[in-house]
Amino acid sequence: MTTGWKQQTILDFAFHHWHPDRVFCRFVKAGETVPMTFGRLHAGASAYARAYRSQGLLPGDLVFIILGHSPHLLHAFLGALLAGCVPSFLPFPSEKQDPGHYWETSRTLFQRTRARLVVTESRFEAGLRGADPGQRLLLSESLQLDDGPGVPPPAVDPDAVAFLQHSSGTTGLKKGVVLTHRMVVEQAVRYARILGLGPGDKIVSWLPLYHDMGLIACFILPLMFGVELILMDPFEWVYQPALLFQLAQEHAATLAWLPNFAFQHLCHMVDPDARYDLGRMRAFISCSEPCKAETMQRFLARFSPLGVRAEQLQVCYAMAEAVFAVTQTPLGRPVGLVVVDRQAFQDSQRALPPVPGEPFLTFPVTGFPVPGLALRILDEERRPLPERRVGEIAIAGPCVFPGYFRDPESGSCFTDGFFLTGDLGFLADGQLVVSGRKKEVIISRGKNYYAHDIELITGSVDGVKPGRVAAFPVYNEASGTEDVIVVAERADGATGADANLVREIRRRMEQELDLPVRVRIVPEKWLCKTTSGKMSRADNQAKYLAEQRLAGPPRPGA
Amino acid sequence: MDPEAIMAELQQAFRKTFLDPSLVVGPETTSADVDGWDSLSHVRLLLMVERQFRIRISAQEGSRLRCVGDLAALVARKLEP
Repeated sequence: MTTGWKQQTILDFAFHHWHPDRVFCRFVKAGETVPMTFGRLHAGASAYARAYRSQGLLPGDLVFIILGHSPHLLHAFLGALLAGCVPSFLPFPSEKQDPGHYWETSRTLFQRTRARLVVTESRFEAGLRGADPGQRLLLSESLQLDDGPGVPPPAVDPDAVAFLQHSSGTTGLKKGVVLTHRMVVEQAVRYARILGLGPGDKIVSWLPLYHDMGLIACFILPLMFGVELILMDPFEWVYQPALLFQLAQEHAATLAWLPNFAFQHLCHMVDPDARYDLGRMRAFISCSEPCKAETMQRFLARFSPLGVRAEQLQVCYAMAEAVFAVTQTPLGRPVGLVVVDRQAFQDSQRALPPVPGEPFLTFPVTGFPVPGLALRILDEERRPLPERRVGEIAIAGPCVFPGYFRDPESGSCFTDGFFLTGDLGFLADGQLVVSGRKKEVIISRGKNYYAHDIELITGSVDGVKPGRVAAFPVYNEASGTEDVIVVAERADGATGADANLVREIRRRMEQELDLPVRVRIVPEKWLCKTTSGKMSRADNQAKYLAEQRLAGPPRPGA
Repeated sequence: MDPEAIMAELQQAFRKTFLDPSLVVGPETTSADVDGWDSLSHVRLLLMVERQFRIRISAQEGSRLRCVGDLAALVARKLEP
């Protein structure tokens, strides 16, 4: 039987739910909430599609979108899909970043990826032109969004690249995750099903769209299923986190995705006397950085008077390389906790039941694999491990990406068709527990940073001994995220702390990575190397923590 | 409230926010000088300052601050009769 509806591309789904007068998104900015209907979304996207074509762009051409929080974000992205082009969001330079450095490294990315066009705002024009005079630009202010007829969705090969997600790494070295329409559809359909996504749902979000959680869960998913979206400015949310609750109440939202630190930020910042009704929320989903059981418990205790219940707090393990969700806890019931014997876990990487009276560790589960996605836990020799044995998480399936954009070395990330995530975990009764990381990625405030990048930048600071730097994470209970610790030895061999050196390392880190760090200057030969001569982040982390404990009352993150 | 008293009160707010009883800040202190002073702790600091001085600081005002001296000047303006 034919339905007359081909369910093969993102646009097939989006246009199936299309009704010009229906609200797709409520855009929240500077105290105003502006509704955007599907009709307006289409008109704006069509204006962009025409602009791309008039610039000579062809299907498959890459378009970078670097915009602040405005409806243009949605128009520019969807316009690229309508034109058959490949859009990719990038974060714009923050006020703390050096614009010269930002645009210089961006130029490297544009050239490496052979980007045909950059959509941005006039405030960034001079910086971008200064670094990359030859790059073709489209300024959002130059477009009349309501002009002209709607551009119909094109006939697109489902296996054509839909968009790229750029995640970890300094701007110039960012890797683009290649996602086809088919992969996105496979993910969205399966994920929507396990969420029970329906017409009564509304998603409230402050997440930036250059992040996979914001892009997929809080833009692509609602777009494909006609679910209303309430979208805040990420920077405004940081200052007014309670706005999330206010908007959830006002618009009867049902779903929100948040990294662990955001749960903590809400606990810190929401006025204890504030009264919101959060009883209609179906789920607050913790995702994109390790979910901490104590953070969830704190959130529950703090906001149960506002209607928050244990079964609303859920966990998702996701990554751009799988489009988004790898596992999700079942909605409607409290997240399970796995308690294991600490000794066995640390000594033999086995998640055994706790021994009465002995120390134990508690992990929240991240749920069952998304249907159709195969998940294995692999040992050092990449052999599958049974339940409750800790190893590297590897995934395969129709929504797992084929490799990074224009990166011939992507093959090393796969074994036997399975993508090696670099995360460590174990299975317990079919549910995944993520317990650590194998690759040297630090997740701070929901963003991924390579320890190697941090060490390279620090090592290039005058006064730091080249090659004698280690960067590693330490969980900060106060902020609910990982602090980045940078330990560096002085080039002059002196032993004391150097306030100017500390300041310079912090300044460079903010300029180049938009990353606040904690810096410790140490005497010569303080840092430990592995037997193979590499800097040992694990040993240096342990040494740092031991010294902090000896130094007295802990400071945040220390 | 005179500028010195404001700075003394701000120092307390910094110590409580960053859980560091020995932290010393001056008008020239910036986020590059204080361990852990990121966008989230900045907002927590502003909340602490609001409560301590019984004033309101808007998101726009908070995002424009470049150093402790800017914050002290903002507090002084808010406390003006």
